Formats: sequence, structure tokens, C-alpha cells
Amino acid sequence: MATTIDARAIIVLAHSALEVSVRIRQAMEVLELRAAHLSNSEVLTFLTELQTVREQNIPIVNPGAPLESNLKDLYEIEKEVVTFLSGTPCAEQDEAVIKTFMEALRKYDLTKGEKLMLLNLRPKSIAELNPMVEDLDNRLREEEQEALVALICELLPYTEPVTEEGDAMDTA
Amino acid sequence: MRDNVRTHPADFRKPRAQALVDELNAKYANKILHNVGLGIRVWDVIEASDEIVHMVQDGSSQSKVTFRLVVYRPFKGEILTGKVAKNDPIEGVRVSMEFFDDILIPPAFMQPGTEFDEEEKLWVWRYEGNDLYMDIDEPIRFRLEVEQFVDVGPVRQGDQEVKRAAPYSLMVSIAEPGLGLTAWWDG
Repeated sequence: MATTIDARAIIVLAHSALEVSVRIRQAMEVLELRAAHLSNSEVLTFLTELQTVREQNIPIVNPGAPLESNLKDLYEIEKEVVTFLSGTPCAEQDEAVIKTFMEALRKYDLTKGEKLMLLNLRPKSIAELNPMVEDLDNRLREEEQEALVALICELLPYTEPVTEEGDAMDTA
Repeated sequence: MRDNVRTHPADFRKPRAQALVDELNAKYANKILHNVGLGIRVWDVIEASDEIVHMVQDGSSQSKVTFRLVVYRPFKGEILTGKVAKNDPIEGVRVSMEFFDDILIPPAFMQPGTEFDEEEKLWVWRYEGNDLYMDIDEPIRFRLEVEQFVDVGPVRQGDQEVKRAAPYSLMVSIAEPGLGLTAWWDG
């Protein structure tokens, strides 16, 4: 089918920014890439809310009906993404936590991508922080690095999942 | 994204908005979109044109839809986490992120001093007298260095045969302080 679509499409991204060129394929056109970054927390909240709604709706609309078979892939990826994200720091974050954190980060000269990584990965030591901030040692003195790590630990509460050996890592 | 969506009469008993979203999700969820990333699901529908009912046997209708799609696409240099999935003596270590696992750490992107241990069948980082093995299922932190899109036509993630190139794959690095198994840097 020839495409004369000249519309604006926006793609919202989970995890990170997206660079995309406009592409016309069959009848599908990508209009804009890099519409917005979504934090892991926003993705997790979005998907779990949808799952809850779906679980509540099905008995009312169509009792006993199996879930749509053509949406098998959807359910699979949603389940996998939720499983994955639930084991990461975003599982203990909500809008209020994120807002407070982002405001506290304003006094640091960090890029959008760096702030997103700090939020999603919640580095609890300078060693963990290091790869996330380019040229860290030149941009922040050691005391400032320690202060940033302390800020992250304080504003982003997180108790890591218990490892197999049974030693839970408590967050300071 | 803008697309033409075909809704079937069976869907007409659903609210139209839901039928459109379902159709879009059926098309894009868990699919690699070339040069775009891994489609997760529809975020919202911005605009949908009036339906054009087809005078074809199945009586389906079609409308132009503008919508936003949630897509997984890490940026170059981004630090990510996953679990060690496989140790291969030639290609390196494969990493899984549950919903996506075409992720490879080639030997060139491992910590200096890493080699493949033939007995354990694992890659091991020999560092300051310690033998740090890349055990399966261990949580690992890595940096995205190279992404590759191969246009194999519309492909449902996970469908392709082993020999065919993955439509979207990542080469990642752990060759810096703070990267590699998270256990290496804890405490």
C-alpha cells in the first residue's frame, strides 16, 4: 500500500533516549524518535497498572474467555519487563521519590542521561558511580562524589534482593 | 508512529479505542522495529481518523492512527544491568535482561587479565591474585558500546533460527572499574 502519510509520530522510550530516522515501511511511518525518556519506574508503574486493570476487567467483560491469542506477545513482553524491573531499584520508587531526587540533583552538573542512570541504577558507592558519570574525577572532587553517593542512598531507598547465599545487602 | 490499522468485525463489540490499541499491540509488542528498537507496548493513541469500512468479505474497517509506542532502546554508553546467561570460549559472555537477550560481551571488552578457563568452562578475571569467575545467573553491570540492526523483515523477537542474524543486538563492555559482576564491587 503506497504511503503518503505525512504525520507526526512520536515514540516514547523506555530506559533511554532513542535516535531514529523517519522510516516508511508498508503503511507504517515513524514520525519522531526521541520523544521522551521514561524512567524504569515510570515503565514499571505503567505496566503494572495495566495488568491490574486487565485482571479486573476480564471477568466483567467476558467471563471465562481466554486472553486474546494475538496479544500473546504483548503479555509475554509485559510480564518479562515487569519481572526484570521488579528486581531493580525502580521497584521502590514512585513519582514523589523521583521528583525529590531530580530536584536534589539540580545542583550537580549532570546530563539527562547521567541523571537517568543514577535514578535507574542507584549506585551505592563511588566504584558503582564511576562508569555512569563521564570523567567523574575531573568533574567532582572526592568529597563531592561521596556526597552524591550519600544523596542517592538517602533519597532512593532500596533494599537489594536477597542473594542465593542468603546475605541480604542492606542499604545504608 | 502512524499506521493503518485493520479492525475486524469481531472486535467491534469492544470499545473502538481498545480495539485499536489491541491491534497496534498485536503488531508491535515484542517485535524488533528496524532502527527503532524493541517494541514493548502502546503508550497512548493521539489521534485516529474516521474508519473507512472496507467493502470486502470480512467487513473490516481501517483507520489511520497516530500513537506513541514504548520502545526499548538503550543509548550508546548507557550502563545497564542483567544476568550472565552463557560463557562461550570464542564469542565471549552472553547476558540476559529477561525481556531481551541478544547481548554479548566479546573478549575484547572484558577486564584486562580475563581468560577462558577450560576446566570450569567459564571466563575468569584474574585480578591481584583473585580468580573472579563469570558464573551463570550472576547479576552483572555493563556499558553499551555497539548496537546493530539487521533488516531481516518483520520479526517477532525470539523467532529467528540460531543461524540468522539477530535483528537487534548489542555488544557491551565490562572493561572498566565498577563494571562486571556486581558482586565484584559490593562492599
